[in-house]
Amino acid sequence: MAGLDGIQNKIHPGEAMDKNLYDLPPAELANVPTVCASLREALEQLSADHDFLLKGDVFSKDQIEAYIELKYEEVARWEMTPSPVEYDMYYSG
Amino acid sequence: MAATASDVLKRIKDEEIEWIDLRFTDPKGKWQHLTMVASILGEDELTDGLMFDGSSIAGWKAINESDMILKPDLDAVYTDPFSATPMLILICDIVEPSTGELYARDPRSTAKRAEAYVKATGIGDTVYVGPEAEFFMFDDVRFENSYSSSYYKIDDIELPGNSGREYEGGNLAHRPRAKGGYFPVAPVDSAVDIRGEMVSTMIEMGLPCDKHHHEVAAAQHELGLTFGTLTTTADRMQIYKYVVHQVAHAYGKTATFMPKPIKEDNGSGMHTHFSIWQGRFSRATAMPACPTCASISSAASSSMPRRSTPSPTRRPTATSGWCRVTKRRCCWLIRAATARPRAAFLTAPAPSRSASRSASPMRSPTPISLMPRC
Repeated sequence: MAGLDGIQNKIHPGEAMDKNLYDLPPAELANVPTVCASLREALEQLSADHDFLLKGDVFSKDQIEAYIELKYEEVARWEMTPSPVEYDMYYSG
Repeated sequence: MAATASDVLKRIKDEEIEWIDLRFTDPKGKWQHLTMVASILGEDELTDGLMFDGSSIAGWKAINESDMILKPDLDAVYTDPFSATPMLILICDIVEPSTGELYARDPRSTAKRAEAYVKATGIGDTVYVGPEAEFFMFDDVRFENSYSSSYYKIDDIELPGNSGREYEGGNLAHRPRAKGGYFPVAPVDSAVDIRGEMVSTMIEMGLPCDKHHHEVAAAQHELGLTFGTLTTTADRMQIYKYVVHQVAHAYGKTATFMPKPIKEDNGSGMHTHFSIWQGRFSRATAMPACPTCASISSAASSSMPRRSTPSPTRRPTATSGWCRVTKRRCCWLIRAATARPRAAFLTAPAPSRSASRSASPMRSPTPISLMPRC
């Protein structure tokens, strides 16, 4: 659906990157778009931008909203669960 | 009055101090220390400070500019009651040797700049802070993050999951349920004496304290450190945490201030009271005034029978009264009654104390921003 949206609206996908992204200096890397870094961020993006998914009645608004609500339960569960890393970082603080 | 190097040297001599522990707070808030043999410190070191390598403190200097000065604040001197041999704690600022200025990444310098900024804004001249840090105490804590395993495993006599466990000598069964720790008496509360020793240790070290209690979660606790000025209270909070960790260890327990050790129960916070004042707080002028109706009503005092309780050790722990506007009983953030030095409330006759407060129409240190907790 994102691909179709790009074709219909003639959205340029960006120039090809023929450099090793792992070796880019931070200043250059800052201009390279990335996918969402967490489920929370992905849900925030989906919530803010999903009109392209509604075209052709492929997805319904109700369906997307219900999905977001369902997946936020996972975000909450994940964020409310202590991690052993927290013990390592914060136990003695 | 500000203490001088000779005051501290006299104290070192009089109290036969062997160690001077120079302490400072790192960028993440952990207290760090460098222990000096007391006899090598003279007026110069105490006044000008000592060089140390700041490059190994995470988040501070690079290795090629590592030298920094630990400059003792001679008004922030405390006896360390845990040291086997007599030790004085000198809380230090970090000074940049190249400029002689306070190091901007030192959190204590941030606190000092915040106090200066409040004055500069003209909003008030003194910030009072009253923090209430919560913590857990456990009997056993293990955790691992490695290539092939990741877990934490905690245990404490109070954890509700131990209700069915077989203990050598029997399971005595009294323990809080999840979120049930606030606050049944002992033996459900297993740590009354430990918390008591924490508070009496802090009082011994000169900290103003007013209480301790179990907190909501099993194995969770809180001590009452009463308010003080910003930087001083920040120092006291470091002492609070140090005392909690150390006393817990002495009882074979381990204490932590980490925010969320247990998924199914409350985490630990640090509820903090702030107020900005014009003029210093003084007990005689700190008659509680409602921030909403701004008056010291007779209704307020008559609705507080505890204020005249004739016991020198039983004192109100919060200013509270009847608000004429909201028509509700209110509790104000300034806990006037707990600001007294310990010696004062142990010796001052209670009736005259309450008389002097209720008879005082003047409140020269005007509270600028008090938030009601109705």
